[in-house]
Amino acid sequence: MGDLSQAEGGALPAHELEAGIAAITAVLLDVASGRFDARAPRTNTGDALDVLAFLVNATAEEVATLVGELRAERDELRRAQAKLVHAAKLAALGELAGGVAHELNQPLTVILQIVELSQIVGKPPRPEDLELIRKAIERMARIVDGVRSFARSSAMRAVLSPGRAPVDAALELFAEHLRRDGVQVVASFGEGLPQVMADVDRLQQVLVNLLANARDALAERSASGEPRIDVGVHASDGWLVYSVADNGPGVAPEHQAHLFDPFFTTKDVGKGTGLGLSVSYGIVRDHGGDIAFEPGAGGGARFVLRIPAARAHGAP
Amino acid sequence: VSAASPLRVLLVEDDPLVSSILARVIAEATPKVVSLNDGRAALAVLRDAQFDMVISDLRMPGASGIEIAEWIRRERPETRVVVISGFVRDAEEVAILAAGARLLRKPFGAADLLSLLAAGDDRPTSP
Repeated sequence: MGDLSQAEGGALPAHELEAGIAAITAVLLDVASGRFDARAPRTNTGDALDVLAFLVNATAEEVATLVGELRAERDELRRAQAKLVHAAKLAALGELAGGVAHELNQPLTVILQIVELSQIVGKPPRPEDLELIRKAIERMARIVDGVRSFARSSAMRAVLSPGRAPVDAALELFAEHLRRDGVQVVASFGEGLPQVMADVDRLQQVLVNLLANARDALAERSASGEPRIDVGVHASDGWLVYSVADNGPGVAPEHQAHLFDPFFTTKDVGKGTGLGLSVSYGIVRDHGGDIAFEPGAGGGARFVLRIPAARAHGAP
Repeated sequence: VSAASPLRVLLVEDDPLVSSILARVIAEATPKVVSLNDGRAALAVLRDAQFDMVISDLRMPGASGIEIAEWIRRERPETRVVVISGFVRDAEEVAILAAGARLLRKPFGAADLLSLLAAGDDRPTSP
């Protein structure tokens, strides 16, 4: 009787108290670091320490259950998201396949007509027919090229690079072309540009594509005004903002929603593959950025790419 | 072959490469070929001129091959229509056939085209 009352209500010896608290603390530390199966030893004496151990164990059990449920739900969400991404990829692939089929069947028709006509009439193709065949083959080569760069968008090699590097690379490749076409190119670079984690070749490809589109738009322009392209980059809130703007005729409102669709083109048949901007879109997304069209000042077109700036202290 | 009245063919195709070779092959079968590169222009020409056969691309500026086939079914039921395309969705194929037109998938060769024209020459003798 006296023993029992001591067990229920009496003060525990200091060393037992310390050992008990240490055991419970160890369990809490385990749980805090993710080892949810840790349990405090029970004395089943019903004293304060034992009650505490019971509550800590029950809490650890509950945490383990909740974390298990959360993980299961997270995995389920990930699977669902992966399915959605896969479905979107398949849809894009379907569009691409349809577009490729259509685009390739045009030049194939040309070649097949000439070959069969030659067989039917029993004469070799005329020189002008051979020229048509050459043009058809060149067009097919361009389509294949476009598809190849579309497919390439999975293997990106990003390295820490100066923020202006993509613009420099694009101008190095294309500025002379533009000047020869009578287009004035004005480049501008913001102050104190951060570095960028980028595949510079890929971003160069995007900017060259935008410059070429701007050049083509300027070639269409019939009105007055010196053909001009503004290209540049500035920093804004942890982003590098690249832009290519022209003073050409702009993009018709009904075309704006389709600019980044595979095989969408307003260029003459056989001139554009309609893949340039959709490939660009993929490249920019691979960099964790986005690309958008904005009507430019004075009616021209303006494309803006936002790429996250690299963190100041190294870690990507 | 009715030498007295050669087959009158309207070709509507916006791809210049394809159009130029198809026009040449059709010319092997008949001297009366008109070639256009725009659907709306084709509808305008069809209002004024008579053709025995219209060979039209499916997707073009102005008006589609389906719109042309449907117009012809209403307004010129005696004119045969062949819609040509490198890529046809199921719904488009249904619409083409519903408009009473034939569908010829690209790529197709000169033999297919010439036999279509020969079949188109089985015209009923004048009404």
